[in-house]
Amino acid sequence: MHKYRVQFEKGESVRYISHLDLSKLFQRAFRRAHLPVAYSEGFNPHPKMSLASALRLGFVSRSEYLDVELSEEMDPALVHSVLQKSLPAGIQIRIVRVIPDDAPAAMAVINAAEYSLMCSDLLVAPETAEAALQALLDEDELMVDRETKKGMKRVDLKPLIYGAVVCSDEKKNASIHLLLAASDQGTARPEEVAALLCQKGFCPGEGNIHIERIGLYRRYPDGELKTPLEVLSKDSMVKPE
Amino acid sequence: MKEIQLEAFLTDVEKPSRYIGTEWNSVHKEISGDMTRFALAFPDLYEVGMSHLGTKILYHTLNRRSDVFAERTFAPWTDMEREMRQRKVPLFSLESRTPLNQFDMIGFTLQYELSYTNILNMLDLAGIPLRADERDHTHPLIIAGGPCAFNVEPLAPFMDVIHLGESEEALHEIVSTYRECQRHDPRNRKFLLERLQDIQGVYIPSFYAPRYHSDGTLEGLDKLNGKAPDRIQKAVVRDLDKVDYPTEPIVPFLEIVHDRMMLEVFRGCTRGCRFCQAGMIYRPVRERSKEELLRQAEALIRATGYDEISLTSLNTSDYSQIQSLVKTMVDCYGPAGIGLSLPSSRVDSFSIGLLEEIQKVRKTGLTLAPEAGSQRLRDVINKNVTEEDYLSAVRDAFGAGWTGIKLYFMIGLPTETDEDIAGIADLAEKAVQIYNSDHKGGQNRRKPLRITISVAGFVPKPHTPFQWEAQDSVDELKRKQKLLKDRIRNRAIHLNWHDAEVSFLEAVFARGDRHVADALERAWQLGCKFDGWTEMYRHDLWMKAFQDTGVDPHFYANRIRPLNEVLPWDHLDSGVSKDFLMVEREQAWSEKTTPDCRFEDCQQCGVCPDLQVAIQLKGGHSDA
Repeated sequence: MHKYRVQFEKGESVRYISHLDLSKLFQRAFRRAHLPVAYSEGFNPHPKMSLASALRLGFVSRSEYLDVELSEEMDPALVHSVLQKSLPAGIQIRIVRVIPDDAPAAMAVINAAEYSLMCSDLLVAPETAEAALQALLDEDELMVDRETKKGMKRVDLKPLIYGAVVCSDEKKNASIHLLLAASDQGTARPEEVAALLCQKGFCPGEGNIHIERIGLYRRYPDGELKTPLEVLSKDSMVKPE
Repeated sequence: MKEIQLEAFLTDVEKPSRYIGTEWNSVHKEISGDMTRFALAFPDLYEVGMSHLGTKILYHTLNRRSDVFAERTFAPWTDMEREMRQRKVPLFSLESRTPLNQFDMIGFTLQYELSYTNILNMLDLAGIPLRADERDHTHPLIIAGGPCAFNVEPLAPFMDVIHLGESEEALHEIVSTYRECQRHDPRNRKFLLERLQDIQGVYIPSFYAPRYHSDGTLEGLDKLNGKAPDRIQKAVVRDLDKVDYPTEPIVPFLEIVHDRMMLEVFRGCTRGCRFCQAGMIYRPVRERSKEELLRQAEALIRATGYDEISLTSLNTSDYSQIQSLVKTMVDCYGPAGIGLSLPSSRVDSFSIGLLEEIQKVRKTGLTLAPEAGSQRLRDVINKNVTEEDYLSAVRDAFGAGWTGIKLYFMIGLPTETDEDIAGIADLAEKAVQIYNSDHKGGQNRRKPLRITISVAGFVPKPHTPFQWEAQDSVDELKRKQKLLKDRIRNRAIHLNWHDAEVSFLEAVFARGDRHVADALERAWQLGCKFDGWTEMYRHDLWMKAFQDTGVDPHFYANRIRPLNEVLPWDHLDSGVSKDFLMVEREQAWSEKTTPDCRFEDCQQCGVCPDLQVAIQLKGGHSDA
C-alpha cells in the first residue's frame, strides 16, 4: 500500500462549497493530475480517499487533511506539485507526507479543532474580547439547543471548550482563538460558541463573526496537542511519541 | 463601481456555490474597454443550466476570442432572489460579478416553454425593461436562441434579436457585426438590427407586426422594415468535424443534473417520429467522425477529471460507427475506471447489446421509449418499434442483469383510443412476465424488479406533422391517466406522470402567438416563476393571468387548426416544407409509416435542397 496524508488550505474562492462537493473536487483533481488512486474491491468500487473532518459550509480553513492511497509509489513532492496544478483556485496544498500502512485514519486521529473568531465589521479592543471571554468561561455551564438528525438536543458546551485565548493584530483588532472538542464523543460547534460570545459583548451580531479553522489536532489527556501529520501509529493515539 | 458583495448572506441561502463562479475551467479575463461583454443567460437554476451542452459550446467558442468575454448567469432560486431584492443586489454574472445591465449583449437560451417567466424575472432583477420597445441603445442587446425559437412569438415583444437554428458559427458573425456597428454608430439600434438581419437565422421581431382576423386567427405578418425578409431560414452547421467543440468544459463544484463529460456524436434525426419537433428542426443528420470523437474524449478526460462520458445525440444507437466507437472507448478507458453512458436507447436488441458492452465498466439505468401502447398507434406516430423488438430488448436487458427499466410513453396522441392506453399497461405486464419466467421471479437477483412507466401528455408542436392537432383537454388527460393507473395490477410496475395542467400550459406556449405575451407578463407580475418545477407551478395564477389579459388558452392548446390557417410560426423556416408535414399528417391518419432517409430513399422533406446541406454519415453506412 502507498498511503499519503495531505494537509491543505480551503480558501475564499471555495468557501461556499460543501464537504461533499470538496470530496468530489479532490477525486476529479486526482484524475486530472493522472495520480493513480487505489480503488476498493467489490460491486461498486470507489476511490480510497477521505477527508478528515467536515468543515461547515461558509468557513475557510488553514489546515484540513485528506488521506489517500495510491496504487503506485510516488514521490510526495511530485504528488504535491501535480496535484496543486490540477486544483481550482482556493485550495492550497501545504504538505504531502507518506504515512505508514497501519497509520490510523486522520478522521480517527482528530478530536480537537482550533478556530479563530473575528468580528468582521468593526474593531474589537482586546479588553472587550477578554471581558467577553472571561464572562463566558465564568459560567458553570453553557447550555445550547442543537438541532441534530434525531431532533433537538440540549448540549453543555463548557466541558467541550478545551482552551481559549485572545489574540490581537497590528491594528489592535482582537480575535478569539478557541480549541474545541471535535469527535464522536462530543463536538462544540464554533458558531454556537460565537453566538454565546456575542451575548457576552464580543461582537454586536453573530452574523458579523468571521470564523476560520486554523488547526485540527489530537488532544491528549494531559492537554498536549499533536497534528495528524505527527500521529502515525496506533501507539501514538494513546500517548504522544 | 462598487463590487457586488454577497458574503453577508451567501451562507443563508441553499447551495451558495450556485452563485460563485470560480469553478475549474471557468474563464476569467482581464477586462479591457474594447471587449464585448456577453452574458449567456440560462433561465433556470445553475444545476440545470450547467448541464446544457449548448451553453458550454457557446461559452467556449466565444471565449476563444480575445475581443469577447462571455460569462454565465442563471435564475437565482427564490431564497437568493429574496435576499437580492431586499438588499438591492442586481442580477450579476458569475465570473466577474458584473451587473447584467452592464453587458453589451445578453443571450437567453429557449430550451423549454415553461422557462419564460424566469426570463422576464431575470430581466427585471437586472433592472432591464422587459419589452423591446422600452429599450434603446443604452441597454444590452437581448438575444434568444434554442429550439423554442422556432415558435418564439409568445416571447417576441421582449426580445431584440432571435437566432434560429445552430448558433455556434452565426453567433460569431452576430458579435462581429455588433462590434462594427458600435464602432461606427453606437446609438443607431435600427441600423444594427438591419445589419444583423442579414446573418443566416436572424429574426428581428420588431420588424414585423401580426395582423389578425376577427376570430383571433392570424391573417398575416406586416413588415415594418423594408429590408425584412418574408421568411427567416435557420442556420445550420455543415460539417461537425470542422466546428469548435468545448474540450475544457467547466467542472461545477455542485452536483448538477448531468455530471459527466459530453460528446456530441451527431446532430439531427430522420427517424421521422411525427410528434417530435427536434427530429424536424435539427435536420439533416450530420455525424462527427470517430477519430474526432476519440480526440475530443482524450482532451475532455485530461481537462475535467470526470469518470463518465455521455455519448449524446437524439438517438445515439443510430450512429453509423457506434459499435466500433463503443468498443474502442470501453477498451481504452474502461481500465481507467471511466464509464460510458447512452442517454436513451432504441428499443431493440442491438441497443441492448451496445449497453451490455458499456456496462462492463459501470451499471447505469435503462430507459426505453416505446411512446405508444399499440402497434396501430405507434404506426400513426411513425415510431418504428414492433412489439417483438420491445420484448426481445427487454428479455436481453434482463438477461444482461438489469432489474430496473424505465419506459416512456405519451397519452393524448392523435387518433388515440382507450385500447391504446390499455396497451401501455399490457406492455409493462409482458415485461414482468418475461422476467418472472426467465429469472424465476428474481430469486437469484440482488434487487427486486422495478418497471417504471413515465407518461407525458402529448403537446402538438410547431414544425411537426401534428402541428395542426388539438391537445386533449386537461380532464381527458386526467381520465386517461386514471384509466392507465387502474389497469396496472402488478406491484413491480410503478407509474408516474407529467401533470396535465403543466402539459396544457406547454401547449399554449408551443403554439401561441404574440397575444400570449401579455398573459406571460401578467403571470410573471402575479408571481409565477420556475413553472417547470412541480412545487412552484401555480395553475391558479396562470388562469388568472389569462383572464386578466383576455387571452383564451384553449384557443391555442385545444383547437384543431384548419390546414389553410396562417400559423404564428409560418415565417420561421426549419427547412422542412409544410407540404411534407401535410403529407406526413395524411400518412399518420392512414396508419402508414415513413422510412428513415439515412437508410432508405429520400422522403423529400425539403431540408437538403433548401438549405444546401446534406446528410453526413461518417461511417459510410450504418453499423446498425
